[in-house]
Amino acid sequence: MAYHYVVTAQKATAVTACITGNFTSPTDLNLLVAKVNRLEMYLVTPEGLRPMKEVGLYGRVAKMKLFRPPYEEKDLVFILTARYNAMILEWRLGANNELEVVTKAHGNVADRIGKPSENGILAVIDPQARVIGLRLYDGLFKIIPLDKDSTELKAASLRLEELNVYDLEFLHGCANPTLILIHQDLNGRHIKTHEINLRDKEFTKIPWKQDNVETEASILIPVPSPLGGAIVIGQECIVYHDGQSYVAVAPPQIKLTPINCYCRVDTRGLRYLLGDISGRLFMLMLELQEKMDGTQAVKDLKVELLGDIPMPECMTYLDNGVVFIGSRLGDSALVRLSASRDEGNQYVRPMETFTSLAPIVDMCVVDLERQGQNQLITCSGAFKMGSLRIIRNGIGIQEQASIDLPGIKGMWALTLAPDSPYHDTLVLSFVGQTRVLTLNGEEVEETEIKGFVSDRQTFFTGNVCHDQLIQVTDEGIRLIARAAGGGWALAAEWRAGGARALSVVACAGSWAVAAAGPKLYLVRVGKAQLDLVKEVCMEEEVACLDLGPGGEEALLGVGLWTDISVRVLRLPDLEPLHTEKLSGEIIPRSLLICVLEGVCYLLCALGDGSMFYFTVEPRSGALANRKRVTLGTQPTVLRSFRTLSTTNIFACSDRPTVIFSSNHKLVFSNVNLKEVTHMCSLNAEAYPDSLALATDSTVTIGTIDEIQKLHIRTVPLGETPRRIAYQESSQTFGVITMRVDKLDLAAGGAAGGAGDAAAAAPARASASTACASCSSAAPPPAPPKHAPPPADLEVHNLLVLDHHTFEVLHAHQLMATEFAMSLVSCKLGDDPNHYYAVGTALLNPEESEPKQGRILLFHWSEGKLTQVAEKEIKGGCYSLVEFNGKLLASINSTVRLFEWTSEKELRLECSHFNNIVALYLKVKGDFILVGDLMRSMSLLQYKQMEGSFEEIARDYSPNWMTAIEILDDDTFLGAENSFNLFVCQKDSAATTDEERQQMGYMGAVHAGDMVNVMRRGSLVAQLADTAAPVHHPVLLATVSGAICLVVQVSPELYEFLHQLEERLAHTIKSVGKIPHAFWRSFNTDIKTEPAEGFIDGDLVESFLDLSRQVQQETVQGLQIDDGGGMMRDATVDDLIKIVEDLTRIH
Amino acid sequence: MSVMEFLKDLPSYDEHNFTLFNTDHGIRNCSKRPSIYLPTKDIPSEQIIVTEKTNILLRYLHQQWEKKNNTSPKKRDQSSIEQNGDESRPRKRPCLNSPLN
Repeated sequence: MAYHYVVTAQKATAVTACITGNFTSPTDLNLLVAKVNRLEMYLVTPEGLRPMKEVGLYGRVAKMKLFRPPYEEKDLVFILTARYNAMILEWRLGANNELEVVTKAHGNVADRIGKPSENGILAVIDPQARVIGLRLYDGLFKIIPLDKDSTELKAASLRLEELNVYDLEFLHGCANPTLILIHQDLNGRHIKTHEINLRDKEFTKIPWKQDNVETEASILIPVPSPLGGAIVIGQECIVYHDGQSYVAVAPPQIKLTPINCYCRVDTRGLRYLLGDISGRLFMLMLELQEKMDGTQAVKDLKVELLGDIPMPECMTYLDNGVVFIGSRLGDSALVRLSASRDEGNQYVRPMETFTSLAPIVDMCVVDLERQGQNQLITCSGAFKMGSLRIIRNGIGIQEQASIDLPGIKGMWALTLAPDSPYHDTLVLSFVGQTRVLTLNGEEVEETEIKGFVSDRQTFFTGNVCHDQLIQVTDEGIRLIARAAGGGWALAAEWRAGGARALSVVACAGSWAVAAAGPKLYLVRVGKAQLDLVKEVCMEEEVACLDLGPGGEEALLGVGLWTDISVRVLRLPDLEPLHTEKLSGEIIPRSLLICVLEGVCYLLCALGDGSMFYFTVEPRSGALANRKRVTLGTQPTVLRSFRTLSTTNIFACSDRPTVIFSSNHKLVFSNVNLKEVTHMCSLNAEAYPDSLALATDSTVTIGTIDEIQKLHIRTVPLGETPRRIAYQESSQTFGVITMRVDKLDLAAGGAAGGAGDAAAAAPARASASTACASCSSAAPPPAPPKHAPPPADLEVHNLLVLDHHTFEVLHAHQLMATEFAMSLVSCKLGDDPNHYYAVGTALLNPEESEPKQGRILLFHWSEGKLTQVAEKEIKGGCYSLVEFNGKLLASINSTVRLFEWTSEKELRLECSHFNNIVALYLKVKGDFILVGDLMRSMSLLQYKQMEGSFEEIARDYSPNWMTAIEILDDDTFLGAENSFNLFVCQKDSAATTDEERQQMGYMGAVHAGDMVNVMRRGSLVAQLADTAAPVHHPVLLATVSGAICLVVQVSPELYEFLHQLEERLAHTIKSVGKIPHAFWRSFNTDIKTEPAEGFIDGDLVESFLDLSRQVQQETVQGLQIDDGGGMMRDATVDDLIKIVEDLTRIH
Repeated sequence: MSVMEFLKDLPSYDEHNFTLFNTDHGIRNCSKRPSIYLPTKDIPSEQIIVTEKTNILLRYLHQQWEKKNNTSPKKRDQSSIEQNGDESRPRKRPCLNSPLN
């Protein structure tokens, strides 16, 4: 058996549906957004959209519609999931004024038999909320009459004559619910209406119909009363029809690309927004005329192009000209319609973007900074919204203000105003000078404090006892007190004797400790006086020191040069308590003693970015539990700060880190900043609970996130990224992209000659066209003369990008009909160079699968891309992997191994033929895992001596694979196209050959999203003792932009978490009343089996969000191993500790 | 017709909405996320959606048959005669259930 934990690190970001309505109260205007299986409720406010609540459903939202029954004051939501769970939801304020979601009705509307429609599920609601209509299966129309008074809503199927229905809607203003639909038969597409008799559950009559509307008509828009009727949107023309009048227009603007979504603007239904698949926004307006009888009728339809928007999946008009555009192919957005044009000739202005990674097509896991912390680079988005996303885990800083000031050597916040709880001054020290900044509201201005030395570098300053300020420079210590007139003046000064100037200092309570060379001075700070209490000489020069808590008898930690040791001394006699030698020759640079969660720690950072830390026994001063971590590569400065009333430590370096204690363990979280040289906490009136952070050139004031989370940076490409590979040796990324060039038919026609290719022009500037350095493959042979020229041309490129700046260094264009399918960076045979290998397919529209392709090897060096080899292959190269210094390729149904000869040629070594289409390859040692289009996974072994492949095991189930990965030598993870994950294991110990050849199912779960790519690796650094007991992490990325993590867990942990999971599935009530077990069950067209072998991490981790009382109830009776094999009752704290550790693996 | 006419008098639910939206610093990126709703209180749902299990062909036949019965005036006349007490005729009643179940 295999045991796994699957958890979402980044939730799906693709927007699949959106609606505007009054959901949370009769007066609130809300936006409801569906993202795969989650609903996000927003409130429209003067400041913009305010997030209210996110609701997770145990099902993928297939359709989401709003309706308002006549007796309701606000809107209700009808949702149908992909597995036919229907629900009616209401948002309302509960007892304690908390928003709650009530499932007013629920049930499964699946039929046992029926052919699911290829055009997908359609759901419509009668405008008077009398009935919900569903088209789930071909030839059937299901109605759910909405009857307020009965406890059962009886859904019934009606026979629908029209088999091939493209869209349907209910018409407005009809005495009986009346359906209008677009259907297709042999003669073309037609519209037809059906009146429904709800009592007899049958279609009664066909009020009107119109045969032969446009062949590509696909959208129906019902027009509200009093006009009634419907608008039919086709590829080239738009038609209004209400049974009597028929108005058709063919606006030239819409011809280029199909319209795929719409939203109504005004309630009368005279204006509509239309979005097309290329991301253009149009407005459709009905022009009216008065008829003889005084009623109004549609006279004309007008269409106007408003501008560019994200490529829409859905959109909804909010208020005052603001529209939400939901996208599946990139960032969703809030845009404002404006009657005046901007510089770009647009009537649409973007206001806000909603980051989306969808669809993630490929990704690579790279430790770019070589710090043990991975980043994920994804190929996200498509067409004009194509981009690379750089995703890393860390604590974010929300920047509030920044000041350009280079060369900061130290920074402290002071309170100058009497009796103020807030900081109002920031002191910055530089080489040879000190500057004082006053924080006046949000403004910052430079000032001076009388008595303060400004022409020297300050080593320390702060508020000290008796309402005084202390300033320490190399000269000595200065005490500054309030003067009679309200200003400040020097009150006392102490200078170290001898030739050596002070170099390091620490201050706490009424003590100041300063060091000059090897000499330590302990100075007591009194009211307007500074007294030297003790002076000792250490064995070596002092490199860093810090005073711990403890008042009069505080501990002093000292780091020394030369012998590289840490000493612990006690005040006031500076009596030595403990000596700890640090290994190595790197000098300690910063030392800190602090108490976190009641445990006293001493941390000492060295000049190379590593850090030792110990626990300190407060009485004896003994250091224990020595541990070492690497935080960065530069000298690190440790500072403590407080946020939300807990003490944390900030390690300033080239890789800033926040250190905090959780469950009595130190946890290291990297901060999402490039570098920080100094920092101090700042609690100013305008910047409460903030941090001031200095880099080489600027000071930033900001607040810090409470928890670490994923941070996403976008590198827009303007074209579709398909594959990505990292090449460390050349410090570049290789990216395969595709762009669509429009054929300029006019130019082609002018050239006249048959066979002359029409001039193809890029549709817009994008990464491959804007690149300064370009190359291209030889033009392909002229296409056959009879072939009509395609309107669009897909052009594939290999881009080489710098790994730091992500600048496109070079673009190499492939041949015109050549599609790049795979990419890998590899080092082959004895050749010292690293190459980019690109696998391609040459496409001929008449062939069902590619018959020809190429494997190309490129070398990037000194700013030049050279093609070093080309191998023609008989098919499309779906996947390429480096394998034992050779190149392994899957080409159509075959898996082939190529070796790199000394003549720099790719030579076929061996092949394996037993697949339909071998789409994916993963390798480990001599083993090759092959993912097939429809025949699940198989495992091959490469026999080095014979130079051949042997198929050693196979999963015989008919799974249509979308991604595969090797977890360990025997365990394999697969994802298939019904959104499930499964684990197969090879059984090497089986007795018969037959059993050995069969890979057994060892786990299956419904992931609820289509996994496109799997990569071994994790997003968090494995540091010290923070790791949860999990192994072999694999990252998964999905079509909807989600990133998940699958890890192996021990059988004991699995068993324990499984119990917790079951309890939580009971404790946390499902919105829509879909059972958790139903949602996670492995489900395909042909079978449904309960989930096994996987823990639903999303459910388990929601334990932390429950109230203490509910946690307590959940834990009741749960047994835990106390560490020695004895079982005892688990406490809430045990659970929190285990689950918190699990949350830190992603 | 100019675009002005398309975009004039756009509907307004609350004229204040989006008035304080600040785009001076360029396009904003939404970083706020809604808090997660985790219900632990069981609110029973008022209505259950059930699917009629009868095959639509059977329901159709059933309906057709009923229609035929109800709308045929001859039969209604007959039954009224029966009720009026003509006892000499054999009372033959159509079998309603057996073939259909």
